[in-house]
Amino acid sequence: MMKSLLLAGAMGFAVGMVSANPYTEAVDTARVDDEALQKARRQLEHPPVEPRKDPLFVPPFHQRQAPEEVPSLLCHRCHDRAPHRRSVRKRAFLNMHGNHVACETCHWRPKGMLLDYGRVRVPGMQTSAGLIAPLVEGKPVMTLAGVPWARRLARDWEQADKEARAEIKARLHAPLEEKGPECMACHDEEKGMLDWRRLGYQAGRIRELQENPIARFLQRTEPESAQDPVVRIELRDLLE
Amino acid sequence: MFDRLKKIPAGQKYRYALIVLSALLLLAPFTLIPSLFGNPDLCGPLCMRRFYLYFPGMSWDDLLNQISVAAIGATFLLIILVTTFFFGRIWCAYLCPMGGVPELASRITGERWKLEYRWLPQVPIRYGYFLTFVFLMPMLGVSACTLCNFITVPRIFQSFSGDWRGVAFLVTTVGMVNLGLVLLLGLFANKGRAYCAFLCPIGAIDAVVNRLGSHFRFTRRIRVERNRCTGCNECARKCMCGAITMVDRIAVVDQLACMSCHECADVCDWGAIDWLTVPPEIKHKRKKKGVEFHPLPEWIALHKPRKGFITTRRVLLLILVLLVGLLLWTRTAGAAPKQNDPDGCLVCHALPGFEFVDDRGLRRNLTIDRKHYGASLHGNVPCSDCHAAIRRFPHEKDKGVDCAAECHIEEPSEGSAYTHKEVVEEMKDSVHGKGRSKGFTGGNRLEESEKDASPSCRLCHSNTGYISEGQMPRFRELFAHSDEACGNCHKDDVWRERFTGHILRRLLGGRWTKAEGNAMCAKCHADRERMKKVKREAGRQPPEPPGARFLLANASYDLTLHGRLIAAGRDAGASCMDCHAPGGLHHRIQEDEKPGASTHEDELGKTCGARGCHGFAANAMNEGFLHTDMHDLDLAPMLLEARVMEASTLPVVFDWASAWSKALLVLALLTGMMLLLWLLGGLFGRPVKGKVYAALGGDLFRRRMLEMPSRKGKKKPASGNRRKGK
Repeated sequence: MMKSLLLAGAMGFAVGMVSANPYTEAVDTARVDDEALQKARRQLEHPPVEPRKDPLFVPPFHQRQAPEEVPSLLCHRCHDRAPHRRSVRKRAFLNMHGNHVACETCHWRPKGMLLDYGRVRVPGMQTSAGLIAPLVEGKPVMTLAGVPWARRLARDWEQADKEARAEIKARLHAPLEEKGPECMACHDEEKGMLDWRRLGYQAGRIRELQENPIARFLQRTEPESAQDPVVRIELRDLLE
Repeated sequence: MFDRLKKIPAGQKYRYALIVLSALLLLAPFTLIPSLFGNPDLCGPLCMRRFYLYFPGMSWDDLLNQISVAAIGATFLLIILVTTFFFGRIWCAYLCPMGGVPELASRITGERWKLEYRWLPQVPIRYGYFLTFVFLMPMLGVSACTLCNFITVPRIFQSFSGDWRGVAFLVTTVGMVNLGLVLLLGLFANKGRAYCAFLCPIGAIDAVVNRLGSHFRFTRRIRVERNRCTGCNECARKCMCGAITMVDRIAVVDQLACMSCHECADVCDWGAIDWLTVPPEIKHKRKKKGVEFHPLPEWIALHKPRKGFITTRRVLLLILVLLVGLLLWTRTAGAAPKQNDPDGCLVCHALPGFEFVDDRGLRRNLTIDRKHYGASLHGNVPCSDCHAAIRRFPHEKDKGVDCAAECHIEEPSEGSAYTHKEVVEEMKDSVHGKGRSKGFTGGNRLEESEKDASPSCRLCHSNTGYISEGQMPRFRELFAHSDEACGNCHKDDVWRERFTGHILRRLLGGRWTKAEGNAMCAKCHADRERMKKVKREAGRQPPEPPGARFLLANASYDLTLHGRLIAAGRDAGASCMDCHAPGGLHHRIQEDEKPGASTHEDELGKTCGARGCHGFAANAMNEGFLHTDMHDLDLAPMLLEARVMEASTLPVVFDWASAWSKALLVLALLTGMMLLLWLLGGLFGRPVKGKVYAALGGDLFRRRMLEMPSRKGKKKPASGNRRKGK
């Protein structure tokens, strides 16, 4: 326990010190093609609806948990803490991963690079164990909002006009993949992307994660065509 | 009196002093030791006598739970048992004020006009009752507290010292029965220890330990040196527990009954009985043949000759213990996990951070806090009872929740299917009738917030609505407490949920302060912009926009005495609800003009006079008073002070049909007779010379315990005996 805490602390310290990581380097050196630029422009023209900040006059019926603290990651400068919106089936499940997994884990998977995954402590976040993030040669790839590189980027963004913003947006997303891995890429009994044991999970929890009924269910009931993303399944199927 | 005091053996004086001291420390008004643990009496965490109760189907966890509830008491009992093992029943004889105080009371009031219990066989009565106490009573749902002198004696002292708790307890039926027991088995019993000998469960456990410990040479016990005993039976006569019997004119100590009070040792003239460990045997190294040594004393605690270690009784006992253990173990192993989510919704919906942002930017938090939901008003309603349309995944567009629908919850008193239909109907009949009562989804909260003028069910009643936020910590504390306290006896989850959950919610929810209720109304009515959109309909065709009086209703009310009292936290003032929805289910709020409305001018006399407020209101002379404007746009004039004394009612439950009441009747008769005998005997009874025996049972005591001839048929005073030949 003490050891892992020390390790996490050291890692957190390292994150604070080192602002450059393979992702930021890739952003700096990214070459943006026209298609990506078009897409960025389009998205900037039609941004998704901003999440409402003020509470509604009618209170929620069910007493909900207090919202978890938003980790101060670079991505959260633009994206909400619940960024996945499109897939009706998976969005809420994906969003809850934000409390445990850094965005880069799923969306930054460069080809030809040997990736390892570890825990990285995020300052100001309650989860003492930290987020799961990719490691390259032992160094975490997770960009905090407060590092000089991100601050510089924010300054550029503030000063940029529409076209420049599209360029920055396209460049930022160039090293990333829009679609993350499937559920079963990690939640599989066979060796998945993540080594749960090394991430500090207990044996019972590992079994829960690997034999996760929700992940299996989602995989099993994956819609066949992309045109019809909503396939409704009787709930009792979930209970198997 | 001083003569009597002087006659008390020195050791016993110290013992009495200790009992008085312990009563001062443990009982009201000082309760020094209980208050160390933040407790007003010896109940709750200090209770030593109910954590070992067995309930059918109990698991080890339940037992641990019971122990943890009464952790201090359990620790204390353990300490008592350890000291008992080494020194005998010190706690019972020297410290326990619950036994000691009745004993002292009984000793003060003399021995003659008393009941003699000591000749009764203790083992069958005591352990019969103990088994009933541990196994039968919990099964029958009789609380362990109902026959407890640990609850009664402190309550008596509490009521003496003016504490309402004591008075309140003693005027209940159960309290009276207990009081009767304390009197009959304590005050009116010779030596006052009958309760300890027959009913006290701590004594029963303690006695077993005492008996087991007396096998050993190193434990201090009351031991008899048979060679020195002259058979004078002085010790047996003085023994308050009836532990000493004369067998063949030699004192024999029953270690199950003995409390090591030491009185026998104090009164023995021959040093034949004493409280000691067996002294080491002195082996003489050189012993001349044919020389008689004075025999060394042989101190015996157990008078039966010891057989081998393995006896039939022990084997049977072991088998019994193993069987009970096996039973308990199988019960534990087979205990089913609790299931409060029959549809499995919480498989996903209990995940933390389970949320998304919908196309209108509305953050939809889908996480249900299992713990909170379970403790909430709807905690025992399965999800599908309200969200009836959801059958599939991804969920179909929900038609929404209908508050008037029936759910599968049973109404606690009748067992019929539960529904809010009546409230909804009453609501439909009110000015707020246009508010939604069905079709609630998470998604349409936005429309409702922005468009609806009338309040919906969920605007006022979110799932914690009935219990206000301020009361929530208290509710949780009490719910957990009732879960622990009631849960020890009522093992049935359904029972607990139905009664403690329901009643607690109602009691605590019902105690919404009036200020909180007003704040709920003010949420809309103090919002003038919102109120401007309201159309007033009753008696108006077409509907009119609201006037200033309506718009400022909240502000003007705040200036009245009613409003000010409530704002100051005094519930004597009338709240919005008190006048506008005083009856029924408190949802029929109607416009003043509508006939039958509680604030209609014809009804005002009734409304203002209700609930012991202005009882005079209906008097024809009070026309002016009734028309005092509670929403006067000018400053409201100061009215009569509406302070109402809240009558506190004592919890007297005297139901003749109940068994407790019958028991009380019997006990009251017995106690009354005893009191009469005591008084009459004390006043008119002839003085007795020589040794005194109790009037009732004294003769049996003589015959069975002291091996003395019966006095019946002899022309001697009923309770005295004179020396032979005089």
